[in-house]
Amino acid sequence: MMWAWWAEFHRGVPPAAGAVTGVVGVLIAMQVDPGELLAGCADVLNIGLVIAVTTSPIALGAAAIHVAMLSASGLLRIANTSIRGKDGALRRAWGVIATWAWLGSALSQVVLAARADLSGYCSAPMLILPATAVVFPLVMSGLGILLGAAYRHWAAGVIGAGAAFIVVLGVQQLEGNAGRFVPTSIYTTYQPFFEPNVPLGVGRILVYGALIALVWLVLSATLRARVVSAVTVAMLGATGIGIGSTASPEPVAYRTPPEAVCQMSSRAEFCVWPESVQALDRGLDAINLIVGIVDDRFPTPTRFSQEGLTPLTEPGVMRFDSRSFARDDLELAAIRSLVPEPNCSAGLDAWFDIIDWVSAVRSPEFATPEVARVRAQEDAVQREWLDERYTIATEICD
Amino acid sequence: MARMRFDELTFHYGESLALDRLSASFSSDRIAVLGPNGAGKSTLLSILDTSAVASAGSFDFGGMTITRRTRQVLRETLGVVPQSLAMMPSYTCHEVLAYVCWLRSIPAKWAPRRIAESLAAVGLSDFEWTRVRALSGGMRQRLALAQALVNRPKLLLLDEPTVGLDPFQRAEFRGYLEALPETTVLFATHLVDDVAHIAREVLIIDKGSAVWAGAIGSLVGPGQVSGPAIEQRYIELTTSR
Repeated sequence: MMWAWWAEFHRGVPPAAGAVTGVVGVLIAMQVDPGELLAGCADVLNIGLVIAVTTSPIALGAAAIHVAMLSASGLLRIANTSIRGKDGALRRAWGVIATWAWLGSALSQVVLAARADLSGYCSAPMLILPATAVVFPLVMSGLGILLGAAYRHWAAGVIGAGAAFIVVLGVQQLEGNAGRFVPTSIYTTYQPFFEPNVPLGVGRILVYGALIALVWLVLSATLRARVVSAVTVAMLGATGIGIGSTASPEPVAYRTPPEAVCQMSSRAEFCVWPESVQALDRGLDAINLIVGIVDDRFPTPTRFSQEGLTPLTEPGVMRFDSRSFARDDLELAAIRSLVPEPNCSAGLDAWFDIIDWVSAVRSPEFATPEVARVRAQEDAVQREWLDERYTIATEICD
Repeated sequence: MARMRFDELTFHYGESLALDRLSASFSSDRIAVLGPNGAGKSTLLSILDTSAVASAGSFDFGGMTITRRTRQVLRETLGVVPQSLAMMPSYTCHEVLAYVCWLRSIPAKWAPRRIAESLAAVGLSDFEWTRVRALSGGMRQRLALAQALVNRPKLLLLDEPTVGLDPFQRAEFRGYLEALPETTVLFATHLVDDVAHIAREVLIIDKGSAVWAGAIGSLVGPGQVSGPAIEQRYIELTTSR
């Protein structure tokens, strides 16, 4: 029966909405710096989900506008006298809009995947992310169909899409992670020691499933379909809320078991997650080089580790930014690992001074005026200057 | 035996009574429903096309009483031309009819033939792949009729089908309706010329009630069927209430 769907699929609002979703999604995907993505599936799937959720209000608005147009055309009136009924026509419109929403967000997912390195860590719990990305646009387009059926005016679609976006953003704000709605934001990406929270993710998908069944219930003409839909709403809703309520409220869970691959040199030990083993040699070389520059200037750590590994909980183990693994040059990451990043602005200023100083020793052409002035002075003055900054960077925020 | 029968059809829009125990019986296959604006013509058609359910009363077609349970049977052989059917301007004629074929559950393998038949029946075969927005008003109305023919209806309901058409187009449109021998045609109108040319029986309603129902010859007298004569009787009947 694809033939019968073709006209509705490729004419008017549905393909236009799909194109807008695709363009917005691809623009967002293009804004993501592949160098900031972790090797593996987590970042790509998570940003893909964020794009699907961010663009799904378009599907809601398009669905409402499409229903308004079907109504104005008189075809819904005809549908109301047909075997399939108005409900059948609305369900078909729902399917068409949802398919375009999926195609649009799938396009952005393909662009993301093409620009990312997928050879790293992927896990079964991460499948929650694409599953949610499939279900959520279906929910939103279904709600759009109901909105359009209730208020048969194109303005309802525009207002509905705006309101949906505000609600989606508001929910994220309440959950404390609105940054996840800016796919280029660092908060969108998972740290390597995180996994999707399985109970929370599954609970959400089941609740979305209940909403889909609820829309189906409203669009059902026969008593049998209504009873089946109502039972489905109750079962999925109760199960989803039940499972979701057992989960911690964090959208992610800690990854287990924390297996590490480590390598030692005369100056330091460096540990990474198994999927990052290709960065082990390069990282250790960079650490050796940088530690060699500063080891007689201020206390230098001897153990470096990618985020989330067990040694990180031990004192003296320094965090090595795994997002730098995609780059050729790991020296900046090594410099940043010399001193823990302070959490107050005064400490940060001193921390950046240290980074500038080490960078300038490594590459004098990049010296800032302040660092150039210091480096022009005697070694004792430089030591005193570094000492002061080290103390500030490591102690002032306490 | 009556082809179609209304038995005390009643319909309320909230507090307002749109049809008031309307009863009538018809044995011919060309029936006109005549009445002033707001008389209840469109409401009656909504009940007949199963998009609305009467508050009370019932109607029979082809010997079957149409209820919620049996309306799907009627829908299989029902064609409807609503008032001012705009259709989707970006669709082609073929696509509009394909959409209606799907609504009418016509199997996909039969649909192309049904579409071709319907377009041929209204003289639009050469416009199968023309977009609706490119059609003239008269052609759109013919397309509206074509979409009602895709399931080869036994009952064809039309609401003010010739409104907005020029006299030539109206005559042409009436010709298409006359060429449907197997179909019972019931149309609501306030254009007495259409009644004179198409109808064999007439139902005149006013304020939701039947004012007159029966053969058109008995409305104006045998051999006197003409637009002006019908108009004269219509005015007499509706103003005397």
